[in-house]
Amino acid sequence: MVRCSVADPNALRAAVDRYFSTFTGELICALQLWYEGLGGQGVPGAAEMTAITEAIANTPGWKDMGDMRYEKFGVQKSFKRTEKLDLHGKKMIQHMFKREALYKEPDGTVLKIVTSELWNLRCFEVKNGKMTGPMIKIHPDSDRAKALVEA
Amino acid sequence: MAEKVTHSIVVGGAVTIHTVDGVIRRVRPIVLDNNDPKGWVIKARSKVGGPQDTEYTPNRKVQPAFIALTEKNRAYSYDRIRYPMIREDFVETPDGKNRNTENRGTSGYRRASWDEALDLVVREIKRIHKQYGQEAITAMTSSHHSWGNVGYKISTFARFFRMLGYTEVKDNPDSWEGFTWGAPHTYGYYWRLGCPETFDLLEDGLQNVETMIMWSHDPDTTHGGYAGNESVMWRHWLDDMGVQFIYIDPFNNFSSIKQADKWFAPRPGTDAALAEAIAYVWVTEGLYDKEYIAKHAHRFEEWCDYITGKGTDKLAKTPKWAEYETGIPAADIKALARRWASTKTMGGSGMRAGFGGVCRTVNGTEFARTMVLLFAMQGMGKPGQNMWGGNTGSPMDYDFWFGGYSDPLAMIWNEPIADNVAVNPVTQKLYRPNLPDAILNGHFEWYGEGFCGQGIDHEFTENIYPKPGCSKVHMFWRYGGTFMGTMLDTNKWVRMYQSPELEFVVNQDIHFHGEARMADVVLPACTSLERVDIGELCSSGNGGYQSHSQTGNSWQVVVFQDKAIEPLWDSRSDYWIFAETAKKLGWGEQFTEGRTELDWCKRYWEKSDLCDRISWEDFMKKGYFVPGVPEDRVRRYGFRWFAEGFPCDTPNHKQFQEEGKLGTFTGKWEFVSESLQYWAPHDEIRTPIATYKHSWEGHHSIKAKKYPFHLISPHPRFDYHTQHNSSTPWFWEIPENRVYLNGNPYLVARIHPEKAAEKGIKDGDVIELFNERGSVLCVAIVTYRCEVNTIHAFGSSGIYNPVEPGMESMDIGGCVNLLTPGRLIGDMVPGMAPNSTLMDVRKWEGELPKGQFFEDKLDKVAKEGDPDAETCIEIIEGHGFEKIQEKVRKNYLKGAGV
Repeated sequence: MVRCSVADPNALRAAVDRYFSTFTGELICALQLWYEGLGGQGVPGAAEMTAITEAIANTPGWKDMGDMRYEKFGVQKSFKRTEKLDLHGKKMIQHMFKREALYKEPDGTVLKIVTSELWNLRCFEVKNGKMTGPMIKIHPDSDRAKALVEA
Repeated sequence: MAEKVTHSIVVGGAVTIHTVDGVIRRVRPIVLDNNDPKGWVIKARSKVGGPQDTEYTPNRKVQPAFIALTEKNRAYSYDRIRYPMIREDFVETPDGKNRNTENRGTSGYRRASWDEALDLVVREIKRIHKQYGQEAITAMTSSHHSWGNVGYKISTFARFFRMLGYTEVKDNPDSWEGFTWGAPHTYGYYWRLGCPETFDLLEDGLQNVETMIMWSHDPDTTHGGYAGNESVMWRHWLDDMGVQFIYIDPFNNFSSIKQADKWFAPRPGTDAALAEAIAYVWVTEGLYDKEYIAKHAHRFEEWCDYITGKGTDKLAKTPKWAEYETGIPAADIKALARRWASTKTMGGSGMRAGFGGVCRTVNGTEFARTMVLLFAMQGMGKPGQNMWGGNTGSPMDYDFWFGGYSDPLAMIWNEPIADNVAVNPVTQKLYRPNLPDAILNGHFEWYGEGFCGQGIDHEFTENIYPKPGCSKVHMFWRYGGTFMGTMLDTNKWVRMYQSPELEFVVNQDIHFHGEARMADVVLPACTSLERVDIGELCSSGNGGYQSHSQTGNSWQVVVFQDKAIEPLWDSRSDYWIFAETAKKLGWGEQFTEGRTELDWCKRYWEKSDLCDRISWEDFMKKGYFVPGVPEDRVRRYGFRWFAEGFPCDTPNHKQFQEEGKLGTFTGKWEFVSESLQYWAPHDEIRTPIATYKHSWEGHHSIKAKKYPFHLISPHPRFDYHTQHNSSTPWFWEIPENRVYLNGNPYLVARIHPEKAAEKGIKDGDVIELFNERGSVLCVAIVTYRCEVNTIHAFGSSGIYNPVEPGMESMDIGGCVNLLTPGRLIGDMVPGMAPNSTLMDVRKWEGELPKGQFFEDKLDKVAKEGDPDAETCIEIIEGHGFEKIQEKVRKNYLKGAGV
């Protein structure tokens, strides 16, 4: 039982658009949309999954990423936002950066983010593939944080 | 006379050690000085009759649990492994066969030099590698027998075995099974291993709470995990201000007996029925937060149908129905439900509000889920409405980072502490509770990755041993502690050790506990007082394994664990043992990266916020650092963000929380679990609606006719797992713990007077607890503190002393885990259920049997090293204990030229 029937393409389209208008994540799969966006209850059937997947695929600004793992849902066919949202000031810093990922500063320094919390990104400089030097704290509201680009 | 003062962290808290002439004289709490920061202040309600706006602040003392103060005894203990030892009848056959493995547990030992012992270990590693491959070696750590970021299990042990390559043994959440396997399907928090977040809830509690529900919770006994005794004062504050404490436990436990306004004693394993009946009262009387539920709950109406008897089972979960299951009168259940709903109520089960013996039953997952839902119904996250057990959630400076216990960034196998990450090339795995089954049967299948915290999906991975294309395990390196006392049906562990499948067994430990006596080679490690290390208490205080682990301490403290004394006898630090073995294997330099233990300690200072706050020299000189809590700290109350609908502001890492969602499929409290419908639709133990079920070993079982008593074996009061009671004979003088009879410290077991009379048992009688899995002799305490059908005996005995190891013979060491069922909670729920044990009891009329006299084995080896060595019995009785210290003192003074 769903609050929005996937059998009605228009209703589904409207529901998907409504969900995406407030969704700030970068990745989405049909299961997540079923539960969070459509008010789905119970496990969706194959037809429902196909309809939702197609609806996402036809949404501008999302590209097919193939199978990716979600901590809740396991491996699912996924779509990624093609353009980054400007979420500074709207979103906590910890979710704008990936843990264990490499980021470049404007001067070319490469940083690896080892942990991120509400208050700080915590990184180490990476040289020759190794983390070096002391732990670096970058405040979420700082220009330094905003200037980081994924390497 | 040369007195030295050093500091350390041990299991149970941070301590100061006073050493005189090379001998430990006293172990005390750390008393803060005037240079340490002020304590946090919480302004809250007054004490009853006292001034308004009382300020609460902690004592300027880091207060450990009393077990931590026995470290001196543990260092000079009678059961210290003094020298490397090799089993007397071990034969180093070239193919690993015919090694008299059936004698493990009964054979004696001979003294060996370090070179002889480690050369044998290295030859065996090489043989096993050549004969079978790297995966034929497995290794497993203790349940917390030591402490320190450098020299302990998640660090130095992990570095060695990751570099060597081995079949890793995944841990089950043996202390909180139901919460790991159940609660995430209700509210997420799998990254907190199923436990709730309790940040800043001490302040919330002091300001708002009126009723505390302490469900299967004995915080004075379990002393906050590693956190020590600091939270005892917090609960006294609550008491003083008139907060009503309700304890629910088949045993009127040690916290309850001094604090409970009301004690409820459900029949073991029926707590989920009690929880459902509370819900029934709330649903039928409208006693829940309807606005909150309308906004935040998923499929609440369906769940209400189940509770009220409109579901498929057509059974209303009325208090009368619950009375039949639990033994608690229906009127009391109604009164409990109404009190809970009509006052601001917080509560939890066990440490972190998500532990407790109740979740170690067959109904553990269903209890945990229902418990979470009850708090949700009352508006969890609103002021004074939360899951919180009065032993976590103190203020903390979250802007100070120092890697606590089990933090992946604080391990010497990993960057940034190490230059090179150690990666285990072997992908085959084993699962701890079923390790004996896998070895004995040569095959085992299970779901899940243990308590990895990595995702709901990781509960459902399919595992098989041996992994296709991999060899079975033939060598076992056991590191610290004894699972004979903490795993279940533990005679099977002995049978595993005696199996020829295990061609070679190494045990590395400080004390000669149950499993050490099963090894071919025993390697003596020293205590954390005999080596340098570095550690933290607070972030890791309540168990580690997760970010900012619940803050069970009043003071966060980082300690330079300086060496108080030199390693005793031939013992060595764990780091030294692994480094030396690596050297003999040809990769010593890669293992150490050229660093000493002290160098590694300094790396932790360099790679954390500690280096911004104190110089390395000052830190070493002072011995500890307290970061303090800023006066203008920002409050971030657990679940407040969800209740009030703003992005999560507590120390978590999940994006969906920032979007205001819980970690469930729907982002809401799932009264019908979508994740279980998706992942495990046919699981009969853990159904989409959490339901009380008859246990596969409970009072509805046919077996109950033969074995009518429930055994509960909670976490112990006089131990941390298996580490203290066995090595500290002082504890045996406590009548609530053990009774020393005929040279043996018998564990006490508690029985209700009505049942004791039926069985002809009197207080102080020797009694036999038994079922088809084994039997254990204990001494009876006849007490009304037990539910009438319950036998209470603390689990985790470090002493395992059977008449005949491995058989279903009698144990006189108090190892009641021999009686508990080895079966997993469910086919898809890989947890264990020690508190779903049926047994019977009878008065022991015969002569007291003899145990294995394992002390004789130690005595023999000790005399080989020193003909004048003190025997175990001399040390237990005291004069040997003094003699050891006198010898150490003489050697120290000789070395110092005095």
